[in-house]
Amino acid sequence: MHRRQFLRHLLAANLATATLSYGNLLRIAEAAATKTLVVIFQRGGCDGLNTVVPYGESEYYQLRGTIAIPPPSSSNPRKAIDLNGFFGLHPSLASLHKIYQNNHLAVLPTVHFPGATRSHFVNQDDIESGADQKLPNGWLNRHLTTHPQTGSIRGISFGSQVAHALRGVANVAVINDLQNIGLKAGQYEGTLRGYMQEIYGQTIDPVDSNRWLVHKQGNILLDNLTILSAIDPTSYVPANGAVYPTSGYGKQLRQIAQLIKANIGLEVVSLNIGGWDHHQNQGGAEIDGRQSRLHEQFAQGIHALYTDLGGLMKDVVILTMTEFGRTAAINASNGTDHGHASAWFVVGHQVKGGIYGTWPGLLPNQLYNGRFLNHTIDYRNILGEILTKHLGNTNLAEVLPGYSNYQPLGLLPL
Amino acid sequence: MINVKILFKKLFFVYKPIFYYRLIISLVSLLGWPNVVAAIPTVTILLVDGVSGQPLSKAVVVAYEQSQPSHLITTRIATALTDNQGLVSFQLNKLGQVGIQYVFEFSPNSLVRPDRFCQGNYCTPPITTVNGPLDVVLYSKGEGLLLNRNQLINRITFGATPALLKYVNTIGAYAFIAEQLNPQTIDDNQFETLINGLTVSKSEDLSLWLLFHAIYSQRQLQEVMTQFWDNHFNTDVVTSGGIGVEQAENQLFRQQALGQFRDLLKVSATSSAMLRYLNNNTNRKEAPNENYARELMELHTLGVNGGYTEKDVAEVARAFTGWTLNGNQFIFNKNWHDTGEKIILGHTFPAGGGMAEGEKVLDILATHPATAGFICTKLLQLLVTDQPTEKAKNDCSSVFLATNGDISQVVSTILLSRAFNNPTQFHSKIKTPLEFIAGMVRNLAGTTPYTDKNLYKATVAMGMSLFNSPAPTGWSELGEDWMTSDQIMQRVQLINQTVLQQNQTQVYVNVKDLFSNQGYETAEAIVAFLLELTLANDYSPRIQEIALEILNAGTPFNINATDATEKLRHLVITILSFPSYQLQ
Repeated sequence: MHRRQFLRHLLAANLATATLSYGNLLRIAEAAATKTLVVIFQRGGCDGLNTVVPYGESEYYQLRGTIAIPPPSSSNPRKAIDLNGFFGLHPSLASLHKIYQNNHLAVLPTVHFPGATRSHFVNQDDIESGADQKLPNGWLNRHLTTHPQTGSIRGISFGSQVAHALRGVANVAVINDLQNIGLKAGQYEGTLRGYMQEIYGQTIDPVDSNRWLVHKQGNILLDNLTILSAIDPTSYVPANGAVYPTSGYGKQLRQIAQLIKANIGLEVVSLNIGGWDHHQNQGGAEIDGRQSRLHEQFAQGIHALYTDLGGLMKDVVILTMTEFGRTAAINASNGTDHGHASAWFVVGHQVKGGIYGTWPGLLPNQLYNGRFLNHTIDYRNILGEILTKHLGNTNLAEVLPGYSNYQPLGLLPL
Repeated sequence: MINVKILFKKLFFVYKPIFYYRLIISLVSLLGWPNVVAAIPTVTILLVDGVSGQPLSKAVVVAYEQSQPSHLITTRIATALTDNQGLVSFQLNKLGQVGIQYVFEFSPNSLVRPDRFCQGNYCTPPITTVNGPLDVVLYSKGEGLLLNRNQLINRITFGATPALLKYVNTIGAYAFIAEQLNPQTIDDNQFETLINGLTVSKSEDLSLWLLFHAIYSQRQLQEVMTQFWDNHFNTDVVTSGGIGVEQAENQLFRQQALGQFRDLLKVSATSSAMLRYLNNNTNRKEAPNENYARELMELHTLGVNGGYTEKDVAEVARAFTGWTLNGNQFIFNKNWHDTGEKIILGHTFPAGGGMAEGEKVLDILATHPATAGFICTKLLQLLVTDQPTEKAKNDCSSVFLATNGDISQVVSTILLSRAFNNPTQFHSKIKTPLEFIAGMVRNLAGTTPYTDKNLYKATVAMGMSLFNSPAPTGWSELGEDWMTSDQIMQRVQLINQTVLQQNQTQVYVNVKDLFSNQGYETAEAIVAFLLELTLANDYSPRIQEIALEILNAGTPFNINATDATEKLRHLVITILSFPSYQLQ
């Protein structure tokens, strides 16, 4: 199929389903077992080689110089945490290792896709499109449109902006902080909501696209105000002694746990942790290195959510992703530059823990373009397996269009 | 009666003359003139030869009425000849109604004066009427559109103020554009005194310092463009060396905001903020750092599909080895420079070029067709539409290339283009958080004590921490990247917090003064003024009804009654919470 034809097909398909779900005012009681996917995007391009460390390959130490992570056998207290005799986790990922020991952590050290660029925004858009090119809507939103369910709030994009993965015709709430829900109009709150409902509810020609978008988002806001303002994050106590990082990322994960427990039918939620673009002074294993501190927060947040949700993790999958890995070699600024494959993780009680993918090696002739870790896992195989096995959506032709090589990795053996 | 007198006169600059066949004038921007139009359903047009000054008699003029949606429904309402005085009149019964515009077509024979036209599409004949200037722009095929004053205010300023509305209606669109394109001619002393009195020591101060520029400078287009360049050449205050460094860089972009693109590139390439942000300060021959080289081509000039290769990235990085810093001062360190031969975008750089190599790279990039296309696309997205047409891009690019990237000429081209003045582009863009916040204060003539950090907090809550964009791409101009349910909630919260609070040590609006200072005291007058000031008259009848409902709730509105202020607050928060307030 030609690109244009393909895009048109895609748009038409989404518009058709849109009419089904868009005007859907049914708010029926939630079925008990809503399956939820939490996607954490590490923006900036996380250096996978210092995340899942191939300490068993001597070439790694040749390439990495001062930022190399010492092998588990090292006498240095800050060293890789062994996984299988070849790979180890960065020492600041110790809380992920606990999940690994429970067999609930899938480690995917070499994930990417053919034809990827070295550009942050192009790759983020491609991956969030669920394709090898940017599409007008994201894979998570297409999941919602192709798999109608009756939840009150089916998708949430955490942050100020909507993640591209959730962009599209299906209604998605954007929440920055659950603590701050409402119009803050004092005595006028009620009348203002009423007038807004009336005016935002006016029919708009979709050709006037930005106006249409404002109306649509206003309607989502007004619909969700009641549901969300009933969920009070100030009185929330995480279960099982879970401790979230105090950062915005930690706070959002905590609110995600609360939303999952609130049974509002939440199926897909995305959040971001930024700052991985370490061209300079990336740091190695030391505790206060730039990447170490981020790793610490990243892992602690996942572990807190995993702990807090407890048994509910049987219905929840956490997926982490990043737009690219980085150069195999350290650069002159003690950092790394934009590269190719990187490490992704999948967490959940239904997940089969372990390490996935073959190892492409780090010798010059094994590196992609002679400089970057090659990929041996196409990221769409991960998405495809989560879609089919966890979210129950087998319509991969719509959600991952143009990808005909889908092969499950066995992450979710069910 | 409106007398429309068309004079052909050159303004700005002249390029090759273009032949034309007909002239269409669309009067959609009469939205900006509700009082005039509602009362006078007849338009008289006077055609005058711009050179001889003689009236053009017996010219055929056809009038069409167009109505929404999307102005697709066009009805021919009359055809008439100009009389001996060059006059022709039309009854335009729906003039001034929302969604209605009139288009006039002139016979080819009457106006075949190709030398009257300016560059390509863009010429600038001022049209005067008995009620003041009426500005029409003519295009190459004799087509013309009325310059929409609300559109101009929405796009080249950070929002209407009561005073600005009055001013633009007095001097007309052309004069306003000409002034704004030449910021040094605008007296900004009052603002300069204000801004020079601020101490900027924390990053929230820096945000407010920029917001104050957007809110209070009279040189509004310069501010719009300063923000554009600062964002285009994004750096952030955390990694680039601090507040003073960011502030200094912002000032340099301000000085060059409407200057040559090549100069802007040089500002960025040698700014200590950029040298640190993209690590070129550590780029040396032993191990080049290609971060700046890549983003220079991908984000600053050619664009991601601009035709460069990975090899070009590596070679450009070599050319910029040694462009580094001594403290906050740019220096060229020749000991760090890679003196070998380089081949960049097909150009051979012989060995030993020194610092001139980097300059030559900037020369090549600044005048590259891909750069013209990329910058034009972004400028069109800033000023016209999220989805510029190929034609608009090409028209803009050809001016960019012909003028070696003279931004003033490029911007003037865009402002006078068909695309900009096309009625379908009115309110087609969504305000960014900065535009929304600055615009709200400007619209409501709010006062903003520097000690109050609420506006800074609003930028953060809306996801636009100034000088702190999380990605080297800078902030998006596209509506789809901003407009979410949370964004509307944050914006409505800001309006409510501002308008409903009475503490003058915080951002404060005196709603009564807002109207009575302009002489509006009856419910009808207040509503009409507010709808123009804040919604650019983009409202449905129901919105007008709601506005009057609020003012007349309980007892009919009386500005001297004790409940007047509360009613006005309720009115303002309601109107500003409506969808069209998100648009510009």
